[in-house]
Amino acid sequence: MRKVHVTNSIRRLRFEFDEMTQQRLAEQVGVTRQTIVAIEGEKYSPSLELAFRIAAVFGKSLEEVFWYEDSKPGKKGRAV
Amino acid sequence: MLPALVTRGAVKNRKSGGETPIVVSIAGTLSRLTGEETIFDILSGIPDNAFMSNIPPTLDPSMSLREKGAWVCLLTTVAVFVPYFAQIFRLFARGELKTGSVITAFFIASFWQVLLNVIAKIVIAVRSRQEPRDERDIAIETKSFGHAYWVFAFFLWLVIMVAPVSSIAGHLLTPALISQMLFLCFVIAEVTRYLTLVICYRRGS
Repeated sequence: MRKVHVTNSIRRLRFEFDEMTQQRLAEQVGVTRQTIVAIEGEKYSPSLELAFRIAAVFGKSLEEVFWYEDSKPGKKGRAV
Repeated sequence: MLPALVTRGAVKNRKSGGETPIVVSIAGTLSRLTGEETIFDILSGIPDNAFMSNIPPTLDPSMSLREKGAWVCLLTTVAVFVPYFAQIFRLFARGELKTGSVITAFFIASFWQVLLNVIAKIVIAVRSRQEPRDERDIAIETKSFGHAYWVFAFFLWLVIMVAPVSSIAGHLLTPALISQMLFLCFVIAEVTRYLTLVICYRRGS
């Protein structure tokens, strides 16, 4: 199975957004809860469109939500 | 927000390898709390993986509607067509494979396959939350069709190669048997597709 190198901060952002549930986030971006679980677990890399929608829910830029595994948010990493 | 944090489990103790209740970890951090600090300052003092380490991201006991559907298709296909092909090849071994018996067996197997699928999917649909088909479902389906294609192509070529060789060896394959071998290729490809779906949904990819 291909290793996914894109990681994300969705879990932390959900926590900061008043413990937003995976179901609520899934409904807001129009996917299933299992897809959110897969993205959070870095088992699935979302499409650019979905990544933008997720970032928009949290009012963040794409780079603040998704980045390559070997870089950290804030550092200069290549975003999705 | 803080009580919710406490319910999230324990912090891994790096020295002992054991676990410290997260409430203790937070209590230690709270002692440094000043009037200027916010809850996020407290959180920043907790190890990065403190409240996430005990919750594997992929630990998801519930299945999606489509995963359940894939399981149903896989199980009904295996349950119906394994006995079907066992019977077909038993008849062939006895030299009793006739077009009439093949067609009858085919329709009976197809009827059971459809009936079991419909009943199981109705039960699943009634008991599950209706979910939209999203991009991950489409990606998994695409992957499953890709795998099924290669399996189908492999077995189809096998049949194409076996048929002339068997006729040379003096065992002429009847049209009824060739049709069943082609049908077997299709069923194996379908099982591959459902297996791929199930594996991909289980892995989360």
